Amino acid sequence: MYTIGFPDTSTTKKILTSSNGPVDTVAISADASTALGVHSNGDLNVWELDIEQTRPAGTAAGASGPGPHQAWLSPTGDFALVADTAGPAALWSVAEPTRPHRLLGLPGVANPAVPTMLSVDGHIAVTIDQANVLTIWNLDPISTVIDAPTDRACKLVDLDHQAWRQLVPNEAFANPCQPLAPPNLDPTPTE
Amino acid sequence: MDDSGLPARTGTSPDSIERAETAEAASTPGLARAFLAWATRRDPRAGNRPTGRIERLVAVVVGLVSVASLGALAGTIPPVEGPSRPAPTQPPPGRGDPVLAQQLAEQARQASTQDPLHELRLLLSAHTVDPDNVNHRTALAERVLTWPDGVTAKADFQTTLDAGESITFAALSADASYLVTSGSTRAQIWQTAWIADPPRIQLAAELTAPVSAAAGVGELSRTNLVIVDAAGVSQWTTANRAARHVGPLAARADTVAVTTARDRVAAVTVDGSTATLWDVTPAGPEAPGHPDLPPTHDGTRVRAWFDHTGRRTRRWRRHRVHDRFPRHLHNQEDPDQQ
Repeated sequence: MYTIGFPDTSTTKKILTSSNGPVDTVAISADASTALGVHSNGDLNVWELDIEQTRPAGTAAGASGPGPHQAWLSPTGDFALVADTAGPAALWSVAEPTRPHRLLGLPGVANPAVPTMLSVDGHIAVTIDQANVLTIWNLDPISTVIDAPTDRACKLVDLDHQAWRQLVPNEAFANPCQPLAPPNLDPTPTE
Repeated sequence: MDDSGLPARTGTSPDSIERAETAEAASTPGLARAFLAWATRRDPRAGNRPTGRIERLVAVVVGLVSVASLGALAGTIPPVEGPSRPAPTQPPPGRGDPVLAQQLAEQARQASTQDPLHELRLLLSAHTVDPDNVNHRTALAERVLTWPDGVTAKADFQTTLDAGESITFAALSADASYLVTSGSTRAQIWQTAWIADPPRIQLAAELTAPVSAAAGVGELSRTNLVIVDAAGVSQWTTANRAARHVGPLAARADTVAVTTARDRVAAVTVDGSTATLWDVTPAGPEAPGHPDLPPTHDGTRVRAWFDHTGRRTRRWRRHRVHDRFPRHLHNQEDPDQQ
C-alpha cells in the first residue's frame, strides 16, 4: 500500500536573535539552509536555519564598514557577498557557519556613493561612485568557480597522468585535468 | 476379441475396450494398476490407443519418464515475483570514495603552509574522488578564489548617470534590468540595457520626489517596481523603456521586497514591525501602455502591445512620422530589402 502525501503548505515562524544591534540587511540562501545578517555597525551574523537554534551559529565582528549594506548568499549558503559604502564588496565563505571568513575583495570603486548592488543570481554587480559613474561588473568568473571549481583548478596546477596516479591510484577515477579523448571515427584503418 | 476373432486393436467399440481394461486390471496389482488405469483411460477423442500388454507397458514407462522430467524441469525454474511487490528500496550508493577523499583533504591541510601547489592538487583530488561532498567542493573553490592572480570580476560597461545631483540611494531589480536612483530632490528609473548593441543605460522615468526604498522583479521587456517616497508606497511597471505609475499601495514603508512565482507578482512592505503582503500582479490582458520605440532607419516607428506577462499581444506595426524626423532618414533605402 502506498500513501500519497501532500506538502505542508502551512507557514512556520522561527525567531532569530542576535546581540549585535540593529540588523541593516539580511540574505537567505535559496535552499533555506542559511541566513545572513549584516548589522548597522558592520558585524556579520550567520544563522543555520535547519537546526533548533535561535542564536547565530557564527559571528564576524567588524566584518564590514558602516551601513547601509547589501548582502547576497549563494544558493546553497556556502558563499556570501557583502557590500557597504566604505569600499568594494567582499566575498565571504560561510561554508562553516561557525567560522565565517573573508575570502577576497571584489574590484570596485574606491569612493562608492551607495553599496554595491547585486543581481539575485549573483552574476552581476553594479557600482555607482560619488561622481555618479555607474559600472556594471560581470561576476561570472567568480560564480563559475563557486559552482564548479575543477576547470579553474586544472588551469592552475600541472596534473599529468603520473602525478594523478600518485595521488589517486584507483584506476576507477580518471584525471579531471585530462578528459578522455573522443573516439576516433575515422574509418581509415590505422597501421 | 471382436466378433471376427481378431484382437481388438484400433477403432474398436467402447464396449470392447472396457472389457479389455477390466481384464487387465484384474491381473495388475497396486499402484501400477491405478496408473495403468489412468494412462489408458477412455478418451472419446482418442483414435490410436495401445491395446497390447507390451505397448501399454511402454506407454506407462514413457509416461513415468515424462512426469519425472517435468518435475526435474520445474525444480530448476526460479520462482517468479509479481510486479506488484517491489523490492525494498535501498538508498542509492554514493559516487566516489569518501574515505580516500577525507585522507586527501587531511593531507591538503597539512601541506597548506609548505606547498600551496601540492595543497591545490590534493584538494582537487579530494573533490574529484568524492564529487557529491559539498565540503570538498567548497574547500577547492575557496583555494582557487584566493589563489594569487586567480579569479576576479571584470567591468562590462561604464557610463555617467545624468541625474542632475549626487546619487545617494540606488536599488537594482532582481535581474539588473532596471535601476532606481535617487538624490536629495528627485529620483530616476533607468533601463540598464548594457547587453544591447551598443550597450547603454536609458532613462525610463523621472520622479519628482526622492526615493527611500525600492525593489523590482521582471526582465528587460517588463519589470514590476515598488517604490517608496515621502508620499507613500506606489507600484510602477515598465514595458521596454517606458515606465508607468500604476497606483498607490500603502501610506508608508521602511523597506520593500518584490518577488514573482507562477505568473503572480507579490510585494512585501515593512512599516515598523508590521509586514504586509500585496498581490501586485498587473490586471487585465492588455498592456498598461504601448510605448513607442526609437525610430528606425527609414523614419518609421515600431509600436507593440504587451500583456501582463510581458509577451507581445499584437503584431508590430509601422507608421510614418514624417513630421518628426529629418527628411534624409525617410529617403534611405531599407538595407534588409537590398
